[in-house]
Amino acid sequence: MSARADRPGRPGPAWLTIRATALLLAVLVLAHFAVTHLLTDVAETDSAFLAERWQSGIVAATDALMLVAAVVHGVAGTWAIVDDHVGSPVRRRWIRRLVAGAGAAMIAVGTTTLLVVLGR
Amino acid sequence: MTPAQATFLTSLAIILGLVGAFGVLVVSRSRRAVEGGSGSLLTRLSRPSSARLEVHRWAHYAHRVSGIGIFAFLALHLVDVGLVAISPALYDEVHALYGSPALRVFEVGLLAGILFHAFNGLRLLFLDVVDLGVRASERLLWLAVGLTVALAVPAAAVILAPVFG
Repeated sequence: MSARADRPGRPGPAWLTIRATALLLAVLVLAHFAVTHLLTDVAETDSAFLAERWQSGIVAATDALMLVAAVVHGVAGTWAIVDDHVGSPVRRRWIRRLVAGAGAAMIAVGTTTLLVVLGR
Repeated sequence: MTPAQATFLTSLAIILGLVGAFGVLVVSRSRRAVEGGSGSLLTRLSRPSSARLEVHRWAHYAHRVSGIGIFAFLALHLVDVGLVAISPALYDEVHALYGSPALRVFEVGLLAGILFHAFNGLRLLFLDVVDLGVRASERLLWLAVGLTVALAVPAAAVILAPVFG
């Protein structure tokens, strides 16, 4: 990562962000997969299952946290890949913006879904 | 098949194609980057254990490809779950695909990718904190691979069980 290369030995914000969200996601994502594929058969996770699941404020809040952590982790990870593979600084900046924009859209879609279902 | 289901499957196929293309790109670039340049993938992987950095290089690529794959699937997954906000019936229609045999096989692959990315990621986090040597960190890599297989195989049996009745 360029921010780290500029100041060797001092972790940059992107470096810290990836690691902090990683710890959270290692627990949340594996638990999410276990609940939706192992404890419940995937065929049974229909709209009724979703509505019932999000009745619990703790589950809804956990899912919202997982959404934000996953998108932030994915955007920061993709930025690191772009830094390594895209040579031109101008193209790098535009791809970074595009990825950040896609991430913002993903968070918007996810939170809107959650809020609409909670409002029913 | 309904239009919504066809759209979902097409999107998933595009994502899998893009992830495959990214993997090929990473591997072909490495072929040029690796010292010595030429040599097939198998030749380079079968290097003597003194060339330990080679294993770490591949762990790094596997981490990136699995990460991009999971992130791309997340984008599609947010849209398919988002359908429930528009219409629960539409969500159920698309979601029915997740129970199909082909998607169940995909889910096993997704889980394997998530498990490897999680365990290898925890290994990288650990290496940031504790300065292990190349040999010890390689042992941790095999532990991450072992845990991935040890958890993915029984999970695959659960996920695929309905396919076999």
